[in-house]
Amino acid sequence: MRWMWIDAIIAFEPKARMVAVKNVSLAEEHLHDHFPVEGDLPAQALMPNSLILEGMAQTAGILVGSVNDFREKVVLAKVQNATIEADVGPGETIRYDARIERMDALGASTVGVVSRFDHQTATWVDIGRIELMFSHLDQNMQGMDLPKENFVFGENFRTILRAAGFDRFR
Amino acid sequence: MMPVIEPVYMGPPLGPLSGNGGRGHAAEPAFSAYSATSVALLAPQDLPGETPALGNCEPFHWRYLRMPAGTMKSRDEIISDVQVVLEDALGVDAGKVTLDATLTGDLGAESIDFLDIVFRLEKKFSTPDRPFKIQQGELFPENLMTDPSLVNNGRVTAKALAMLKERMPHVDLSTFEGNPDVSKLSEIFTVKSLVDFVERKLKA
Repeated sequence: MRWMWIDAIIAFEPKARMVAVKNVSLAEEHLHDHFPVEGDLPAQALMPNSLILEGMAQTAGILVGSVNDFREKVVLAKVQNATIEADVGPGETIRYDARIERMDALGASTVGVVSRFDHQTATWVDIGRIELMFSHLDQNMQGMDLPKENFVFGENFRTILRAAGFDRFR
Repeated sequence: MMPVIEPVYMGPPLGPLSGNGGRGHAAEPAFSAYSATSVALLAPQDLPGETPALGNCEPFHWRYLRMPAGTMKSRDEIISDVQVVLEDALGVDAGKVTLDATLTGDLGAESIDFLDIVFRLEKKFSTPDRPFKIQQGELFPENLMTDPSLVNNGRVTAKALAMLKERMPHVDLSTFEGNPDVSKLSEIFTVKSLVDFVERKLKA
């Protein structure tokens, strides 16, 4: 199973913006390890911020890949800035709203807003901002021995992308 | 009676004065890139009422103040803007970004940082009426490695040196020419070479 940290794509503006959501559940094992009971401290189930970052990187990475119809090998090259100001726990939903800020043949930079659904008020509350840079591997590593096939956007990935509802927007 | 002119900020929304990542440099002055615009906004024809009488004086032409945006920045302003770009892109302290610091050696830039720097320079020096667009290969060389006539046995060839001199007048190749080892190539990029590049491009 591929390392997939978004559940569904809910909005897509070609070459500009992608919005995806992720439902956080106690059935996910990583929540049990983050954080387990330790001494007198009770367990505290929280979505790790590193995985929130990964979710944004996947949302933005799919957006960047879609610009060239997934022909480029798009890899996360740099986290320019990441701020997450609130915790997310089980039963909550995270929304990743990613936009392309600048893009050329070598890569792209994206700006994303992380929100959490507040069940009390039934509204989305912004909890963070993540700025990323993606590299087009073939353009930046010319002369290096890279596999010909696109190992970033392979068949497995396409299957998952279909499950996330991407085809609805095509 | 002379009309009383209240200066009004008409530039883009200023936004909160945060977002420098806590790295300590001051927030940008709101007027730096837009001072020409705000002066032009005070031109008499835009004001209600009569233009004030000037007696026998030579009429003062406000249009002399309408310089194209972008050419307004002095070298010192360019230096401080480039410093901010490098602090943000490379996460280094302001004190380390001196004019003769090399991007890779002294400031620790890696390959992806060069693309980041290009994007940030474009953003920093673009104004609403004058975009600052850096073409691929304009600031940093590209594709040298894959062409044997440009890099051979780890040495940058005379042909490539001539090409670099012509295409990149903002870099100083005098030291590099003595020992054109390709692994030393990135060291020709100093903070000063970026400042020279921006200054030259803004004047063009």
